[in-house]
Parts: sequence; C-alpha cells; structure tokens
Amino acid sequence: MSIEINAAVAALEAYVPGEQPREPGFVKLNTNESPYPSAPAVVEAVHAAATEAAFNKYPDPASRSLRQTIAESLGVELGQILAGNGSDEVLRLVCHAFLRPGSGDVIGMLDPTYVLYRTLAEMFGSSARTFATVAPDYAIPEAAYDTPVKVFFLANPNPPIGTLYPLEQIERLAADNPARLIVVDEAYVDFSGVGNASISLVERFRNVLVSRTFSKSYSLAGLRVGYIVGRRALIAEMEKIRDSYNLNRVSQAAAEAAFRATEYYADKTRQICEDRAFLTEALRRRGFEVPESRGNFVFARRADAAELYKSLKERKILVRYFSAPNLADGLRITIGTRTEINTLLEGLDALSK
Amino acid sequence: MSVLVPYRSALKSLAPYPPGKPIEEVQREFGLTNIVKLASNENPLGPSPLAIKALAAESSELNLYPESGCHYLRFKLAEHLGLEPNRLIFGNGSDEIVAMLAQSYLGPGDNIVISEHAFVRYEMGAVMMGAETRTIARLDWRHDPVAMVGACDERTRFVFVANPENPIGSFNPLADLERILAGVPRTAFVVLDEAYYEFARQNADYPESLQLLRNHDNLIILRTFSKAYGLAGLRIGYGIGHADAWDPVDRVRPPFNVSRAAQTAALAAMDDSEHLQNTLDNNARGREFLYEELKKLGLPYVETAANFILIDFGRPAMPIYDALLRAGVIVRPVGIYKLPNHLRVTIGLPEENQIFVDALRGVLRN
Ligand SMILES: Cc1ncc(COP(=O)(O)O)c(C=O)c1O
Ligand SMILES: Cc1ncc(COP(=O)(O)O)c(C=O)c1O
Repeated sequence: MSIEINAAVAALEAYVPGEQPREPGFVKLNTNESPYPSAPAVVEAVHAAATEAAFNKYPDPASRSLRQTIAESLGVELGQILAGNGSDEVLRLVCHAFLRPGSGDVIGMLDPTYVLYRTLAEMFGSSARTFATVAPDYAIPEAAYDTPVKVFFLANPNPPIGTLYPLEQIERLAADNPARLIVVDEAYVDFSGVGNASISLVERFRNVLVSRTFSKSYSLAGLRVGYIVGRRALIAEMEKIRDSYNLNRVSQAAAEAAFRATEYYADKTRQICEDRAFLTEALRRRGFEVPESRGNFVFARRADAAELYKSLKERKILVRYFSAPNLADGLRITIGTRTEINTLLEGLDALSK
Repeated sequence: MSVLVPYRSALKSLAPYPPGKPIEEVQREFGLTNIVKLASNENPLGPSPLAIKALAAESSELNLYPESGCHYLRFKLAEHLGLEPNRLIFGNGSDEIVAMLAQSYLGPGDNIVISEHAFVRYEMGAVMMGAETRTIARLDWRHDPVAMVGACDERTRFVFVANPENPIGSFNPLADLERILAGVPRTAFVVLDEAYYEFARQNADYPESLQLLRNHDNLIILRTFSKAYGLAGLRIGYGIGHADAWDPVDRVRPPFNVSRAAQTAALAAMDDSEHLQNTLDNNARGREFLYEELKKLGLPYVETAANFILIDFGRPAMPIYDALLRAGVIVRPVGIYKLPNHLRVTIGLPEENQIFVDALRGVLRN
C-alpha cells in the first residue's frame, strides 16, 4: 500500500473494546452492560418496527420523535439535543466539531477515565492532557480547573473507579474558563442517584454539554443509542457533520419506548445499586480494596489481579483488566445479576483455595 | 448570550446533507394521508420477509453490545463473494464508510477527484477534513476516465467513481474502470461506489469489479444493504478492498458502529434470493413502464442501470416538484447536484409508478 494516511490516524491506537465471546456459557461482567433484558414495551417496539416492515425506508434523519420525548422530559428544546449511534458517536462529533487541526488544541481528561476520549482527540489531530486522580477519594486535581484545554471530558460517574463528582465541582470547571468546553459524560448517571441535576448546567453555562447513553441503565447496548444536550449553538455545529441517517429505525423506536418505560428501568437500576453494595462488601471481605462506585461496576484492587483475570476467564467468567500502571492491580467488574455475582464470588473463593 | 467556543473552520462552508423529505413531514405540511414516496431509492417491495422474521425475533440480547466487526456477517459475505474476510469492512450505512475513509486519509492539502453531479457525500467528506475537491466534466453523463486521471496529482487520495452514479443512473464499462485504475497514481484510491450493484449487474456490459481487486491494491468497492436488499432503515453497508486499506479505517471506526438489528437483518436478507429476484423483476418492469410513459409525455430521461430515473424537464424543476408534493408524490429535486432542470424518481411498485405518472400528467397540463 502506497497511500499516505492522515498523520493523526497513522499514530492512532484503536480503542480496544472488551471481549464479546462467541461461545455460549460465559458470565459476562466486562463491558458494563445491563444484565437485564429490555422492558416488554421495548421488545414490542422492536417487534412492531420489524413487522410494520417499513425498514426498507430510510429512518427519520432527525430522530425527531425520540428527541422530542427526551427534550420534554428534561425540559429543554428539541434543538438542544442531538441523538447518535451510541454516545461514542456524539463524543466523536464533539471532537470533530470543536478540535481545530493544526492549532494546538488539546483535550483535558482525568486519569484514569474512559480511554476513548484520548483516541478521539488524536483522531482529530489533538492530544490529551491528563490529570491523575488517586485513592482514596480520586478528587479532581486543582490543576484541572484552570487548564487551558479546548475540551475537558469528565465522565461522571467516572469509570473504571466509579467516582461521582459533585455538581459544584463541574460548575467550577465550567465557570473558571468559559472558552473551554466541558463535556460531562453521564453514561452511568442513572446509577448515581443524582438524577438530572447536570441539565441545569446547560441552562446556566454556555460551554457545557451533557452526554448520555441507552447502553447501560436502559439495557440497549445492542441498538446503539446515545444523545447529547447543550446550547443550541453548540448542537447546531455538531449537527452539520452528523451523518444524516445516523440512527436506524429500530433503534429510534426502541429507545423511545425505553425512555418511557420509567418504572421498569428504575426497578432494575435499584436492583443493580443494591447488588453493587452487596458485591462491594463481598469483595472487601475477600481482601480487595474497593473504592465507592456510583456506576454499574466496581473496581476491585488486589495484588493478584492480573492472574485472577486469567483464571476467571478460564472459568468462563469475564471481567475487565487494564494493564495501565495505575490500574494493573485491579479488576473492573460489571454488576451482573445476583446469580452472576454469586458465580463470580464462588469462582474467587475456589481460586483462593 | 453567544457561544465563545471556536469550531473547525472547515465547518463554515458545510451545510447539512438535505435528505429526501420524510412521508410524515409531507403529511403534516399538506394534510395528505396517501403519500407515494419515490424520493430515496428505497426498495418498494419492503424488506425481505426473512429479515422481518429475524428482526422480530431479536429481543433477548438487546442489552449486549453487538459484534464489533460484524463477525458472522463478515464470514458469510466473504464466502458469498469468494474473498478473504479481512478484505471487508462494515459501516452504519455505506455513508459511514465514506466518512471514515475521509477521516483516515484526508487532511488539508490533500484532494479528491469526482465527476460533476456526483453523489454529494464524497465532497462532504473532503470539506469536513479540509481537503480540496476537483470536479471533472462528464462525457455524455458518464465519468470521463481520461480527464479524471488527468486531474490527479501526488496529493490526490481518492477518485470517487459511483457506478452507477446517483442521481444519474448511468454506468461506465470495464474498459473505463481499467483505464482509471491504470492511470491513477498508486498514492490514491479509486473508490467504486456500487450502491446499486444488484440492479446494475442485470446489464450484460456492467463490469464485475471484484476481478479488478487482484491487480489493484488501491481499489475500494462500496456496496450497501439499503437498496436491493431493502434495509435502508437499519443502516448497513460494506466496503471491499485490500486489508491494509482498512487498517487505518478500522482505527477510526467506532468500536460498535453497526447495531444488532442491522447485523441480524442483513444476515437473513442475504439468504432471501427470492425477494431479491422479485425486487429486480419489479424494477425492470417499472423502468420499462416509466420509459414508455415519459416518452409519451415527451420528457427526455437518462437510461438507468439503477432503481431510479433522472428526468429532464428543460426548465426549472422545483415548481414541478412542489406541484407533485401537493398531489401526494414525493420525488427528489437534484438542484444540489447542479441539475436544476431535472428530478430524480425512484422506480416504485406498479401502482406507485402509475400514481406518479398520473400526477405528473396533471401537473404538466396545468
Ligand atoms: C464513560 C462512557 N461513556 C460512553 C460509553 C459508550 O457508550 P455507548 O454504548 O453509548 O457508545 C461508555 C461505555 O462503556 C462509557 O463507559
Ligand atoms: C451512490 C450512493 N452511494 C451510497 C449511498 C448511501 O447508502 P447507505 O444507505 O448504505 O448509506 C447512496 C444512497 O442513496 C447512493 O446513492
């Protein structure tokens, strides 16, 4: 091949997602999916979308009905919401729209956090400045507040630890530098108990975007739906580069049905939070150091983490292992069903014999 | 209050892609209930019944992320095409593959070569990445191979050849493709966009481009499940090329870009040769019918190898488009393709074609 690659891409390391095993029989606690099936109303919506047989037609390019439903519930305008093919797409649109190639734009992010931010920044010719957070409280370092980065990505709660940062700290990030865009990635917000508090920031600050996903609390990772909320002017720039048919018909219908099935998902979320407390306790009893998590996962540190990851996999239990130095002594474990958690604990006990 | 965050300067000249008017919008605007949409080159027979069945059964694993690289579809399609699986890449529509190619290979100072009236996505990709677009005049509605090659230089990264072209319907034969491939520098890809491949190959002289892959590492072929397979609403297309060509594309590809629904339906649709055959038969019949009627109306058109026809009104076509809308027929204005006197109509079911012709006759009479 003699074709020159865009320099930013040549240097890029692709984001490596967690394994998706093809053999049956795995207990899958590695990609922070919900262990619960979709609400009956969502299954019906998928069924209806299939049997109406209109999926030979291009989808609504604006995902209007879905966005309207979300906008009404959040109390924002339609033009303040962009829906994407997973929140991955909306985060990508942020980078594509706001990072100017060749101008030295840099993104800011905590370390550790969701590593896709760095990949996206590099894809669009920028680099990432990281701000290390450390035990016991993983606080946002003081230096992050006035760093002159172009876009600051704050996952809240922040994987893989699960730390929840209070609203005042996000306000400070936003207020300290109004020419800096703050993207609050709320993929896990439903497990944190803070509700829609961050949406008020969008009203109060012109440089705040809040992204969400249906992949976690709404059990819909397979259909890829995420959205981002912000000032109209910001959303409009991202709209320009969005693929016009980015969100397929089935996903639009299913996400809307999911968004309306409030009780079903609130119930599952409650269960997951309960099981998170149970698992945290159980792991601590087994000698793991487990910081408080407000996501649908916990991060469990123990010296033998790397070996444990492999031995668990041999037992068909998948958890996520990161080799980065500040994470290499831990496992990120998704909160599965109580049965799956018990299988994991039995596995751990068997291995420590 | 205004936003102070500066954005990429490339966006200043970028207008969003204007998609075909959705049926629901026309219903709202004009208070119509019966609408015939012949605007987006979709399959008028609907999706394959096998795909419907497969999708209706898809519900138990929606909570899990889909296959990242469309594993099962990749192997099935590779076998079907007689290719190595690593020669394939999948996108959220072939639109996404065009966008990913642009992201992977284009930057300021680079350029792409297209023909005039080309499908708009190519130029949008170039604009998005700050690259230049060189537009070449056509020869009798076809790509001009010599001029396209002549426009290339060492900063050309793509020569986009939609075959057949949308919105025209014309195609270039094998000899032309060979001429382009022989002349284009090795530092540029030739991207053959074959979105209408299944329709086009019904023509005896339509080139079977897969054979060209053997000798041309810089050839990329794009196809889609949106047209003949009837899955436009699910968003899935694929690219065929050298595995090395996909290496950077795979790095910019979102890890889970194709949904479970799309993968499931595409797997099933591939098995439905009966639906495909019905689709091709309906298209051939509808094409002949529309040719006849257009001749009767005295309207010139371009012979099509695809599932749409480009009609020449010899005067600004927007008033005709508007009048058709009011009559409940959505077709496609092609002003953005610099064809202000033309409209593009998708070949529909027999009754839809008839409604279109009747409406058109009424509009032209007034
Ligand atoms: C912080 C964070 N943001 C976004 C995502 C991606 O979500 P989606 O499935 O909507 O692309 C994840 C998934 O793991 C995540 O952890
Ligand atoms: C030439 C051409 N390429 C690509 C596409 C887009 O196809 P997809 O639905 O796979 O994104 C179209 C659709 O109209 C087209 O006409």
